[in-house]
Amino acid sequence: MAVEPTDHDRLPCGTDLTTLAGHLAEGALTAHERNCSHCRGAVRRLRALDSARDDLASESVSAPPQLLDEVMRVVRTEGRPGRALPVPPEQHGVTRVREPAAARILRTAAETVGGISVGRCRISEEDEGLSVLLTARVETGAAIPELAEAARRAVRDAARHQLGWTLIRVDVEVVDLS
Amino acid sequence: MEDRPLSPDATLAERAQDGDTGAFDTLLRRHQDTVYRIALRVLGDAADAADTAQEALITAWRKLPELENTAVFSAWLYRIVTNRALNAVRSRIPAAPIDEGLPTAAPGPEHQSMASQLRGALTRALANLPPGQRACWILRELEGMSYEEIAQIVNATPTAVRGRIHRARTHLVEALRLWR
Repeated sequence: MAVEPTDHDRLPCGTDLTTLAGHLAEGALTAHERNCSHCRGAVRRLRALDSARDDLASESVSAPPQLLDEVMRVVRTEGRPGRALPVPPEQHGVTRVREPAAARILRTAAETVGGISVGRCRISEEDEGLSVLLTARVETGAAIPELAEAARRAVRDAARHQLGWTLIRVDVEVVDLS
Repeated sequence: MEDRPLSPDATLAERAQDGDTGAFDTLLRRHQDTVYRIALRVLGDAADAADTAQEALITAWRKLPELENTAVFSAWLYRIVTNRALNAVRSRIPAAPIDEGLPTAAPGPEHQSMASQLRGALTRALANLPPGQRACWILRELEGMSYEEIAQIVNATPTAVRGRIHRARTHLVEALRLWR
């Protein structure tokens, strides 16, 4: 029984259940609502529901301990390999760095500046060489031109020293303030 | 736990889009409890909830590159798990509705506190709600989300969400009358 949604929201006395619930929540029951037996019964049930809900909501429910490990095992296995970008020189063999690894190097470099956190780091192969686009969030009140320039310099340096790349361009897109 | 200063979800989600599995790990640590709780409340079964949460989180990793506005990452994630849980509920062989009037067995009602009897009655009543109403009520009343957030998650208008929660409450109040 009671599988169908019950749509009779009006008590036999004519009081609407939603209105009653609102008055109850505000502690502003009308004289009728305080004295009518239908309303009082409904108030009792609403209170019972609220207290059962509070009880259920306060139950501490945590994810099973193995959930994170199981998901991360799949995630690490699949990864997002991205492109394998060549790193010079290529005399006695080829060195390549996968995009996520290169992005990580460049992101970390940009964040050494401080006051900036980097989300996306997209590396593009253009005719003249590699370019980089960073999405960044900067601290409120930061001087964006100086900060972006410092980050740009740090990224270029890291690219040169750690990857052997001379970047033709580093674009910084400030998407939000933190 | 984290090796960087606390980064916003949006930053971590963007890194994870680029293939940074460490960033995704941090996002999971932040959100796995809520994801599991939503699955558990909608499904009412711990084993099913664990399966659903796992599938939802793996799906999130695979679909993440398609998410354009990373600022809504958590709503997007909760939407995935809510939909999966609802699909799982709907694909179950329809069982006879649970009798809301009777407390379940176990320690015996006389040994249960009033509070746990009430909670049991609520859990049974929730199981009998239409899944869409159940999900909205859970997100609002147990997870404390706003109508707008819920609307995003269940892909409905805030007005429709309000209506579902209202119908859910009417049903639950009715069910607790039977329990009394």
